Amino acid sequence: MTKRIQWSTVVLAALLLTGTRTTAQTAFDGFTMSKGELCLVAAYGEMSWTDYWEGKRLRENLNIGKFSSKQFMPMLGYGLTDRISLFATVPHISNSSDAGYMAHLKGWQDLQIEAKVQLSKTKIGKGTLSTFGTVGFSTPVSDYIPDFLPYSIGLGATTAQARIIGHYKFDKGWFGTIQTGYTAKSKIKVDRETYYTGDQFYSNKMAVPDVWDASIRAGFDNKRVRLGIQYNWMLATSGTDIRRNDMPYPGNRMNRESVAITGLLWIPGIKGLAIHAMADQTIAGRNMGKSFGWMAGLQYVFKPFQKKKNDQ
Amino acid sequence: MTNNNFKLAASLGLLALFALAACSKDISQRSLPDFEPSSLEQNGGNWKPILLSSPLDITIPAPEATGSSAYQDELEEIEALQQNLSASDKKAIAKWKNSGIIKWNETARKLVAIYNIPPEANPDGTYPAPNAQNPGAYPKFPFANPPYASRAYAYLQVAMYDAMVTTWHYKFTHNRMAPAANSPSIQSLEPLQDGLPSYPSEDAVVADVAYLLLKVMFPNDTVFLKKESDEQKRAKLVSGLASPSDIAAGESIAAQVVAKVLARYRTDGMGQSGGNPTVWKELEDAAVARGITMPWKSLELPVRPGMLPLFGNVKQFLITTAQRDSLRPPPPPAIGSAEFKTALAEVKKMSEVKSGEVWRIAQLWGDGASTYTPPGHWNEIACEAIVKNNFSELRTARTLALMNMAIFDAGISCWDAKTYYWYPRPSQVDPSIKTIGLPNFPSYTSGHSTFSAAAATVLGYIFPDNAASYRAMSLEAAESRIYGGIHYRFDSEAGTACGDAIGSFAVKKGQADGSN
Repeated sequence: MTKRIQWSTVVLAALLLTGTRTTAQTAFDGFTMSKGELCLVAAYGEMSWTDYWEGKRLRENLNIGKFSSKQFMPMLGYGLTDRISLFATVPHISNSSDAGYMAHLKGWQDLQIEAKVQLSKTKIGKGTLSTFGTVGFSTPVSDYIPDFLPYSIGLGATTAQARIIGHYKFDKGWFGTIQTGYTAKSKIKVDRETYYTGDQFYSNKMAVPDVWDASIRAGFDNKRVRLGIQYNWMLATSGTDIRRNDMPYPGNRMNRESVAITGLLWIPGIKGLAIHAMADQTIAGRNMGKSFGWMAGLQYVFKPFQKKKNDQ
Repeated sequence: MTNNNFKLAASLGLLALFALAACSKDISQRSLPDFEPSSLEQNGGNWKPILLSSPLDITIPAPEATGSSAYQDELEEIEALQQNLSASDKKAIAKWKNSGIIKWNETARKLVAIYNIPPEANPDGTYPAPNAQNPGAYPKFPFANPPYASRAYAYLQVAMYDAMVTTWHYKFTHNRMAPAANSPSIQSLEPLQDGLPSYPSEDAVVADVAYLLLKVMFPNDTVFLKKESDEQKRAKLVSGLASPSDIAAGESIAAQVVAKVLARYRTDGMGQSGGNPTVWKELEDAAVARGITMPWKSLELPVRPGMLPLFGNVKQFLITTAQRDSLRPPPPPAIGSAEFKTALAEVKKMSEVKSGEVWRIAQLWGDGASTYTPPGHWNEIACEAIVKNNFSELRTARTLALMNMAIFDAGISCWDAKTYYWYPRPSQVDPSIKTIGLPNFPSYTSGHSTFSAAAATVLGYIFPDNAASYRAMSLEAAESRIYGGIHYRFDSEAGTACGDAIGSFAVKKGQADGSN
């Protein structure tokens, strides 16, 4: 029985969970790993913007110029069973801009752990409908500075998220995926003792809005290649707008819609090795940069802890 | 794995999610505890006011006797009000039962934070200026930057102090006690200070001084300010602390004091502090003639005119122009000198530390755009000490007046030095120096250091037990600017020395005001 690894873009989704201006917003996909498989991923991406939404108003800021974020993501995936896989990653992020005199920040961001469970798998018509649920958790691994946006590498919150995924794949390889999730975020501690965002706060704690996100994806998948196009959105469930000509706050209502294309190519001749890439264009937003980002990397899937079955 | 395991895993995950989601987004904030004044300050009417020559500059009618039918009618009105107390009345009583002066100081701080954002450039690269005649148009009036804020706090607190001295004078002249003390059928719904006359009502004075001044400083918020003022007065009426005539007398004092304070406010030179392109060029040329080889330039894009370059000419409270000139710090090191290079290297080194105590201290004292500014920070510190020491409204007013005069004068002297020397920021000399946010005015001397030293000197005089701690805080604030990459050490040191000197003028004033 064919147990080909069908997994690619979870790595990109991880960036979505805690980052605020991350490149990749490829959502959790409809593919799984099989029991005992280990997946190693190394990905690199860049994201940049020159215009951002101050509240709902798109503007430039000559004192920021072009903002750039570079990200390196090592990631680990493991097939606990044929239906449950675990993922973990810690991205390294480096933020800068080409104008102005604000400090640039970089560092290791959040440890993100995800568990993905296949809830059902049903043959329907000329294809198969699979459903999944994921639960995840993230927390900062360094004492990076969350309250210096847009240069902060993350929001500093500990988060928990849950998600459901529906995935229909025709036997001939075309597929569609729809997924949605909710991420709850803790309050954060900042260095300031007093701040104004919507009101005057006498506290060094800031509330970070929760996020509801979703995506719709369509694509083609076979033994050699997987291609997809998708539409993503994320909506903060609370938060303030950046005031005119003010700096952003972690408590801002950060919304984003984007379209992305993703691709994965299995390298012929080296079993389990694939190269993946994606590109993402923000098309609408609130209190965020109108960014374009891309990410590319290598992944290698193998079974270290048990004898390999003969795949074919 | 079995189906049960899935369910278990899913439930655990969902539990974790809901545990986090259940966390409210509400922020618990530090707030001042309830307190009651420990002294009546019976001789407060003899304290020396600041702008008034004496409380007799202000006149109010003598009150009706407690036995008069007019006063008895007032008591009946309060009695009736207390029988129909609304939920909003109860809330208002709780809100205003502590120091009204501190409450209004907090309101002023909040307004400063709201209006402390530099205007965005026009598409043609020029910058719009807020217009007091059309305060609601962008950029809204005012731009409550640190000079503006220091001035607002100072005038507000000076007015409060002169009004409180006047109030105390008339309280102990007329000795008419509060309704709750004069009528057994009126309850005191909040702590009533035994022996403190209520004619005129100090709360009515505070409410109207704040309203009448703040609406000039923050005209867009007139309706909100009026509501607050009315609420404070109503709270005192229904709580049994002040009768309608107590309140009316307070309103009269407030109106008279504010008229005198505004006469100074409108003619102190602030209106000319912005200058114009011709003036800016002259200032730069004058600094170059004094030996500054690299005059300050705005590093903002588009180039933004420096913040209020002539704020240094605004009339001070504590010192004369000649004293200002004699206190002006000596010239900073020549650019490129060994001393300069050492200082610049230190800034560069500290600016690269983006973690730990260095970063924390830089942020803690940053008090930049969209905050209550360094003067606001010191007002918060002062209010905390006032509450701890159970000050009366009169002594609260004195403390905040002395400190805010010192802060305002310190700001003026600092801006005078900034303009006089027109000295470049570290990032202008070495563009690789990144900052916590670069202020748009010359470097020498440091405003934070000057403000903070002045404030700490005054607070150390009033609260001697904490003097060392205030000193340490002011030095930390001075240090924070080096950490933030925006000041040389000599900027901070010269600012601290100047702030100390100005603070000591306020201390001398305090020592001679008859309050001790």
